[in-house]
Formats: sequence, structure tokens, C-alpha cells
Amino acid sequence: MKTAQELRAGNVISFNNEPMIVLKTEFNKSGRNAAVVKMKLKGLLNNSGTETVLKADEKVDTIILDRKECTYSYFADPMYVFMDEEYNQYDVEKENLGDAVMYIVDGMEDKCEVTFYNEKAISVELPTIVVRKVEYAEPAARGDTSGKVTKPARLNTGYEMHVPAFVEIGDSIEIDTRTNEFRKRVL
Amino acid sequence: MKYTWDIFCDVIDNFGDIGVTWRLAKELAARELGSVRLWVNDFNSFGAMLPELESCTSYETQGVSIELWPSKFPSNVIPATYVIEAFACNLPSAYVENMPRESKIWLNLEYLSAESWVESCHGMSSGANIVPKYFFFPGFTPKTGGVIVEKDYQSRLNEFEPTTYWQRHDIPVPSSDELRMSVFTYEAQSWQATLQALSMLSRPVSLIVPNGRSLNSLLPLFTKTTSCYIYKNISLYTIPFSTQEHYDELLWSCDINFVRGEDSFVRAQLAGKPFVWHIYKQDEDAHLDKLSAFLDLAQVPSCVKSYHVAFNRDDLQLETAMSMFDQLPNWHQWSQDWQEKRINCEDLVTQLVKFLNSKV
Repeated sequence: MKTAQELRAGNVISFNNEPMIVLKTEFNKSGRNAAVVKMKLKGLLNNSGTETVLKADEKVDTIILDRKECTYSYFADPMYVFMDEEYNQYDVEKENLGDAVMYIVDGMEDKCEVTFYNEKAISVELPTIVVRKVEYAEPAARGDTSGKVTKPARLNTGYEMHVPAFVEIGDSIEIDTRTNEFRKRVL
Repeated sequence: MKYTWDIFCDVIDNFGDIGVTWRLAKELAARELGSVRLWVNDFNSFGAMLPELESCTSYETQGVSIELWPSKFPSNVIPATYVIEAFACNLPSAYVENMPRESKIWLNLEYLSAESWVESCHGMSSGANIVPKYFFFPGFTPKTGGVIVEKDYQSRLNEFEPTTYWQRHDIPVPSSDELRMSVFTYEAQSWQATLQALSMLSRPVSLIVPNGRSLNSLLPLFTKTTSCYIYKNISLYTIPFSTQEHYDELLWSCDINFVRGEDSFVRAQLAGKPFVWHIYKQDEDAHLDKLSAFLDLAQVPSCVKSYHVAFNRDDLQLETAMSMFDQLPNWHQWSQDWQEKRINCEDLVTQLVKFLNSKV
């Protein structure tokens, strides 16, 4: 338990029985030495955002989340199954994968960080950089050599994104998973 | 809308909390918005403005049931439809446990402030509570909850005759050139410079002071006579602590009002007379930020602003005080303009009812 005035961005709290991450806090003295804390929160289960205001001395349930390094194992409709080093398997719902679902592909070896709440896997964080193969891309138009012109491409995950014109079918490319943007072509 | 209302007031010190909650309770009852119950944990403070409370634990007047909030709260009290915790007081757990069955909304009525952050917090939901809970902030802008203005305020003001007030208190009716001031402040060193400035005015001055903390700073500077206290051209009359209705009449009867805290501060604004606000002192001088926020928002005349800041910092100089009293006509005009704005704004009770209707 923490008081509202002790909470900081990054803390995870239980709010309406849901784990929510504190994105921002704003402390203000209201009167007669009382104070209020306004907070921006994001749900860890569904990414929904909300705002609330609390008395500064109000007690809030804080949550310490477990995290484990895992690799993607297989898709067992409708769950994505991840496995840790001890071969324990964890099911993750598609909704809880967030943007990570765009880069899930059979055989991927990326080390992923799975976050648990009440022993349930609630989110998966990919490495900042992942490498994926371009399954389909339109041919480059003649004269487009600057690298600034982009075209749509489909990865081997099924995800479509914009890549520079010079990227061709069969190329492997690096993608920044924070921004979902092309970084470079990998030889 | 007719529901039941419970208002909880934890009296911390002085009369600010009980002043606001008592006024709110009366106005909810006066508008026949349902049965109103006011829980107060200190009848001694409350008794100063409602002497009938002496030696009782339950009392009904002006449509409000007043209950002593006991330290061990009974578990068989049925919570109201609308529950108002005033100024972040903590409701008794025995009461809270029963709220989900009975209560629709739980409201935290906050302190009045002119600071800009108030707008962004007004009306926001609060936490993950068993009953939907919201913060309600009084204020001076359309994005806040307003201030309490009784429906009959203007008619009471229009019908009021100051002479009757003075006669009731056996205080001489002021002469035509007299400057009469009411004083309801905390202790303040700044009274020395203020009295000095008043003594330099070429007119008689009288201070009307309800029994209380102001006298701790003032009386040592005065000499007692048979009818009042005297300091040079200034006469000081003490009067008993009064009901809220009679306090309004005092404000209407004076040329300048020194007020404090929250409730008397609002009443002085509604009175349309020049006033000085002695704000409740807070840790880390947070009260000075609140004072500045109000002075800036209200655009008070600059000499009045300087006086307020110095008076509340307790470092008032004679020149600052003289300059303010020299500007009395401008200050008076500002007070009337500000009164008009306050009275024409949507009042707190109207806004409160609209807010609750939108949430139920």
C-alpha cells in the first residue's frame, strides 16, 4: 500500500480490481493543509486510459509485477503460447499482446519479456529491435533512389508496414518495435 | 429531485468547515431537494453560530437534521442517497460499509480555490470506490462548482435596513463621515500598521469585532472605556459571535469587511463591499499562492493587492495601508462589480444538483 502522494509514474496499482500503470501524477494543495493528487492511468490488461483524483493521504494498493524472459512457442487458437527457460508454458490472449502481435511468427527466437499479474500472463514485450522477412513488396519505381520514398510491404508475420523503396521481396529488415518503423535492411 | 442527503463535517479548527457545510445543508433544505442530515463531530464550534446545540446530540432546525458524529459510529445508520464528505474528511467505516446498498453518489466537496488546477480536477471521479465518487470543487470560473448563493440572498439584501442591526447590538448608528469596518480575522501583526493608517484618516473609524481571535491582536492596542475600546480616532465594539444570517447583516452594514477562511470570504464578496481576506495559513506558504491566484483572477486594484499580500505575510508597512485606504472609491467600485459577477454566476447548489443528475 502507498498513499496517493507517494505514487510516481511507472508504479502499478490496483484500480477497480484491474492493474493499471501510473503514467503521470499531479500534486496540489487544496486547503487547510489538505491536498489532492490527480493521476493518469493506463490499464495493463486492456490499455484503456483513465484519469482520477484522490485525496493525497488516500491509500492505494500497489502491485509488484513478475516478469519472465520467454520465447514464443506456438499459436493454440485463440492463445499465443510462450515458454520460459524451464519449459513452463504461458498462454497470452491476442488482446494482451498489443502491437507485439504484428511481429509474432513461428520459429522466432527473440527473447520476449512476459509480465504476470496474479500469475496470469498479461503482456508481452518484444526486444526493441526485431528482424523480420519481407514476404511481399511492390517493385521499386524507376528513379526512386533517395531511400525517402516508401512503399507498402507485407512481412512474413502478415503485418503490413511501410518500407523504403529499395527493399525487395525476401529481404530481412530491422524494425523498431517502440515505433513500429523500419530501421534498416539486414544483409 | 428529492432524495436524502448526508453531509459529513470534521471540524478541524475554527469555523470554516462547519460554516460552509451548515450553509450548504440549509440551502439544500431550503430548495426542498430532499431530507438533509448534517453530521458534525464538534458541537462546541458549531454552537458558536447555533447556540441551540448546547448540551444535545441531535437537533432539527431550518429543515436540517443535525447529528453529533460520534467517534464510534453506529452500524445501523442508513446512508443517504447522496453523501457529501466535506473537505476530504474520512467517513466512518461503519457508514461506508452500508453505502453500496443505499447511496448513489459519494461526493468530496473540496476547498474553495482560484488556482487554475482546480478546473481540471472539478467533477473528476475518484479512485475505485464501492459507490461512484467524485470531487466537487467550488470556484470562481465556469469550469468550477461556483460558490453558495442562497436563492433568497438578493431579496434579503434588498430588504435589509442597517439601522436595525446597530440598534440590536446597542452600537451607535455611524455618522455620515464615519468609516465602519467589521473584523473577523486570525491574529495578525499587520493590525499595527493598519490602525496607524486608519488613525491618519481625517474621519472617525469604528471597528465591529465578533468575539474571537482578532481581539487577541487588537485589544492590546486599545484603551477600554465604558462603552467601547478606543485608539486615537478609532472605536472598537465587540459583539457576540453570531448566526450566519446576522453575520451577513454585519457585512452589509459596514464600509469595509476584514474576513477570513472560506465562508466569510465568500460572504464578503457577495456583500459587495470592499473586503480584506485573511487567508488560513498553510504549510510551505501554500496559502500565499492561493491568495495570489484569487487576487489575479479577480483583478483587484493594485493597492488592494499589495495590502493583501503584505497583511497575509505579516509585514505590512504604513505606506501600503495608507495607499489602500486612499483608494476606497475604486476599491468600492471593484467590489460591486465583483459582487455582480458572483451573484450572476450559477451558484454551487444549482451546479451540484445538475452534476448529480448527470451522474445518476
